[in-house]
Amino acid sequence: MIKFDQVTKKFGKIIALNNVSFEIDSGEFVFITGPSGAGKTTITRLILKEFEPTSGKIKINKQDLAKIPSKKVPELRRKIGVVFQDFKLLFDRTVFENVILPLEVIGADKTMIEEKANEILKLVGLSDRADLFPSQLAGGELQRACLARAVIAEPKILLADEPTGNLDPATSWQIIKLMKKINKLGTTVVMATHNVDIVNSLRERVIILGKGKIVKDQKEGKYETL
Amino acid sequence: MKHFRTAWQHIRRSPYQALAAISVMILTFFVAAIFIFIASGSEAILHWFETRPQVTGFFKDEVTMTQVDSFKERLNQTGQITEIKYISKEEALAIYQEQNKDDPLLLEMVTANILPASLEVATNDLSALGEVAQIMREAPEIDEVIFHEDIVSSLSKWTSAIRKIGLGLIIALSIFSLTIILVIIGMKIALRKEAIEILRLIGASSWYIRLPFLLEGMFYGVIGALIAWLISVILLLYSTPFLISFLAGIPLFPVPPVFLALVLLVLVTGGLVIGLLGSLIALRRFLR
Repeated sequence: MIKFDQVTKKFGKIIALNNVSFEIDSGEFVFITGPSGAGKTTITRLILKEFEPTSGKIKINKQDLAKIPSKKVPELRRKIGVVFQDFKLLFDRTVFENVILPLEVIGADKTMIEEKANEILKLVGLSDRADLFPSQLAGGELQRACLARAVIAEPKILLADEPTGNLDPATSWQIIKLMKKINKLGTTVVMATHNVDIVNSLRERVIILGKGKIVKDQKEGKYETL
Repeated sequence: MKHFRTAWQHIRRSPYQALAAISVMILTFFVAAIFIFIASGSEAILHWFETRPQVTGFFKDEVTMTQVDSFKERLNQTGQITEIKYISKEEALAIYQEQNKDDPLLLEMVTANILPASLEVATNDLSALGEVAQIMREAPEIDEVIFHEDIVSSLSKWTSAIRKIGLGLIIALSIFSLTIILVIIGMKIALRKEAIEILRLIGASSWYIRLPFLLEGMFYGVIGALIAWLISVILLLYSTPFLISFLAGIPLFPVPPVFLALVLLVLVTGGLVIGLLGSLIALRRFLR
């Protein structure tokens, strides 16, 4: 599903990723851990084609990202749901309007949008918050709204960049449980995180990064500090 | 439809910017409309004079009817005359009374005696007028000669001056409005930078992001043009009675509705173009 082949990304003289190779299969749940500046966010941004690798190849669904013209980038991004640490919700739209955005940008049918939105808001437990604005929600609710937006268009891949970074432990667990649920429904989940408890309890695959390199890649891994 | 709603939301949430954009558009298109009216009006007046190559000679008071007839004969011999019309003192008074029928004071003071008899001569074309006018000026029977060519030439000078000034002013104001639209749309793009980034990340196409800004620019242009047209037409209708008496005899009024519709079309198209261009430049400049 996702393949990094000897990928290096430099920002000027700083090497964010250094010759990184890994492959993530369809339906996997993968944690990417490592200290700040290890390159976790760089990986998610490379997958979204926010920028190009300095060298190496990235393939999503067997498609070489380098060969996707910039005009086709929106199509790539529609296949990938993203959850951000800082939620990135549109403050001037209601929860409902935020959640349906991915369907709206592809011009989906109105009744279909409504149906999907109700279904997904129920899944994340925000049905009664649909008409509120982001400023009226608590942190955990914001992240659930963000998650609902990420999966409403049924993407093949769900990227989560520190989704629990701003949340308390109990709320963090709610989010993780939801992500597990979504993973069970067939979506490949890649989650960059610092959260030791979560990584250690779930015993999923863990890719540990350090200074831009893969230090360890374990099935049923544990969090390790470098 | 969705994009119209988004654009309308952008406009509603910053009413003062919208007001600034629309006012400058109104100013631009109002000036444009007024100059279109003046230019077309003076063009029509000029055309009216040009299609009536005419010279009028006023006889001295002591001239007798036989002298008039022999003078007419002399003019006819030039072979350039299409029409020749004698207007007696009484006829002149009737014309004068008709023109000033609303002003009894002016009527009271004038009798047929103080108005001169005259000869209105029309020729095949403008160039022949010169020759006829020259004959009249040299004739001892004639007191004064009014020559259309003078009017035509000074009028055409005025028309071309009006056209140049109008065009210059319209171009300057258009650049001014374009800049205002560009700045306002640019500000809105800057304000929504984060939202635009989010939309990009969830796979919105570049047109999905741009369209509301383009629609907003065009909205300002079209609304400005519409209001400007409305104001100028009301002003024109309001001043019609005055203009009719000022341009006595020249059939300009009522202004045909087709002409007003055409002006509306020109203004709205101009509004669309300025609005669209301003937003496009802003998008290029501020949205990579």
